[in-house]
Amino acid sequence: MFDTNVILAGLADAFNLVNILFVLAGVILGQFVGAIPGLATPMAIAIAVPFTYVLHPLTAVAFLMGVAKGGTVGSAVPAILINTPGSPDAAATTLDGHPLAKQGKAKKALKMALFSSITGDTMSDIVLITVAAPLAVVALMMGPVEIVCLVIFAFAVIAGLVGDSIGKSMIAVGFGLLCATVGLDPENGTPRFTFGNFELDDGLPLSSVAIGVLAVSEIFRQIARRAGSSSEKEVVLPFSTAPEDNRVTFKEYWSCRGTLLRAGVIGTIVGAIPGVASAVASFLSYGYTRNSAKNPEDFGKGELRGIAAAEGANSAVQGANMIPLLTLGIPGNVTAALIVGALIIQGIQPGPFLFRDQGQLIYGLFGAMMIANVINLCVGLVGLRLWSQLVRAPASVIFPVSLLLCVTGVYLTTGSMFGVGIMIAFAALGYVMQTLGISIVAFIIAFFLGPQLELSLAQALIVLDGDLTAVVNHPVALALLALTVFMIYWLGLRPSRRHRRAGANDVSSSPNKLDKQVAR
Amino acid sequence: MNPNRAIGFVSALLAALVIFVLIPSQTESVGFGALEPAGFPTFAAIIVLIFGLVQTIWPTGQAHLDKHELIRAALAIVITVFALWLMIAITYTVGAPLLVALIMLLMGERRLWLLALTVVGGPLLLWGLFEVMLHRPLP
Repeated sequence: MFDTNVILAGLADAFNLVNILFVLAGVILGQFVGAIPGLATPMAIAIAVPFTYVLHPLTAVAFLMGVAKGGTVGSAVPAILINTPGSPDAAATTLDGHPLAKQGKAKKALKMALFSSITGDTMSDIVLITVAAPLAVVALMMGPVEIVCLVIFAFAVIAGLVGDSIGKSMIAVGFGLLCATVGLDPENGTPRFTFGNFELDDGLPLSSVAIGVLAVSEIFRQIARRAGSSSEKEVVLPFSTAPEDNRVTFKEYWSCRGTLLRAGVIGTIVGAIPGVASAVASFLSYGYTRNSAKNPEDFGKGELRGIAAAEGANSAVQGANMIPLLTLGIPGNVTAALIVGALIIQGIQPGPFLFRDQGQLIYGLFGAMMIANVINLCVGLVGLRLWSQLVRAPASVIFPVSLLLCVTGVYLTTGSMFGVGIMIAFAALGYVMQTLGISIVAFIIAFFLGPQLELSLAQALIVLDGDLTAVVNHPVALALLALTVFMIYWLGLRPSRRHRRAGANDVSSSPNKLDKQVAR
Repeated sequence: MNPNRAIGFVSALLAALVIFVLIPSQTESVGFGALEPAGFPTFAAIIVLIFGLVQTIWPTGQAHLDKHELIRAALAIVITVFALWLMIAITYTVGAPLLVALIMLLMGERRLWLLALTVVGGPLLLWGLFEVMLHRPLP
């Protein structure tokens, strides 16, 4: 697992010119999309996935990672310039970024966000590279019984942390698993829920479901919200001509080192827990930084440490999100889930076996992630001025063209309009789910993990000889099941939490805003 | 009825329908293997049933129902389905510009130059890239 030749070969792959160019393209696309208000990074990744199937697996995943990393930098642009975060992750950046921009120091705020983002991202990538392989060794010691219990435990954690109700999130998990069973049964090869349609024999197309639920449903929502009002928000910000107001000096950056370190740690811990959104990390980091500062009254008025705390933490989530994915095969968030989809379609099953069977690919990915951080910094420094213009891009152009891109991408991937029809059906389902407060994140993660869980369940039943009570002979599995029950109670059924959640229905406050962001 | 309670009730009802109607009719029974074809779907449906009932008894969470937004979203879906039908019945080069045009009009865009530029430019760019340059056939 720690073969030096494999590690070096992987890193050499990452430095292939084609891969570097695709990482560059991904970063540019990510920053571009992130800078457009209303277009979230997962949406860009969902749209980009179908176009990566023709690529080499490393090139495809490196490109998608580039989009994800670029998106975290880009989403700070509208947050700072028009007080509208490009994605929920950047919501905390508005607190100090926009006030600083209103003082004529928009460039300073944007550059601080960029430097903080790259710092946080690099820190978490280093943690990922360091801990992923040893964790995978531990994960490899687990048998199918433990894996089944681990996935069930992960579902309980995800359902408890995403969305605003564990009951509704578990319903989403159940529906996701149910949708994953459409097609030929993996053990016996008999059709299930195909209604005689041979196009369903291979199951519901991953790209149709993912793009429908994640991207097209959000496009429909934005179209419906903006229908009849094409007037765009005019951005009028003062711009200072003083050089010190348009740059971040090393002294200023260095004065934020403690904040950045703390943001990196918080982001990495939060990112490693499946289901917890980046917005949680950025608000936690921001809140802790403000409360521990000697001058908390300066926060909210354009404090550089506020921007560093928020951006450092939300970017640190990126690398850490890959820890559960690469070690356990459990995607931590939507971006990771989409990367799982891309890997599965490339014929690669994520999980601890990746290090053993695809070591070169994994170390190539690690190399590509580090390259992406450098490119992200360079593109950010050059492109910030250009991205600043994008906040004025008319929504009436962005969303119809995005919808057409989704239709075209899914048609090319599935090769038929049937796949596009499924995408529209799941877009409608995703829209209804979001409207009713049912987590689409839990749904899509369950849909992606369904086939793996079914396979492990079948293997576990063989190990247990069909007797489920024999699980008592597997202490790790038993502990995980006990933790699952505890988590369901602690995160969802505990009376104080239920009352808090019920209270959130009535009060339109900032914590409620955070809940909604986390729910997304 | 509280919308969150209704979500639980409808989910439980759907799960019951899946367990008692869909699974028996849409799965086959085999006499071998560790897990019957109906086993995993039943497991998934039971999760929905249990938590649907939990949600019915102890409703939690938020639901934001905006009737006007729902109608506009439904209209956008209908437009998309119509454009897809045109793509199948006629060709992509007819359905795609119409899809972009109708959605732009639905969003209230009335600037003719922007409409013309997007309606022609967007689909043309995609068609040129995939159909002409990459030789990937579009409908």
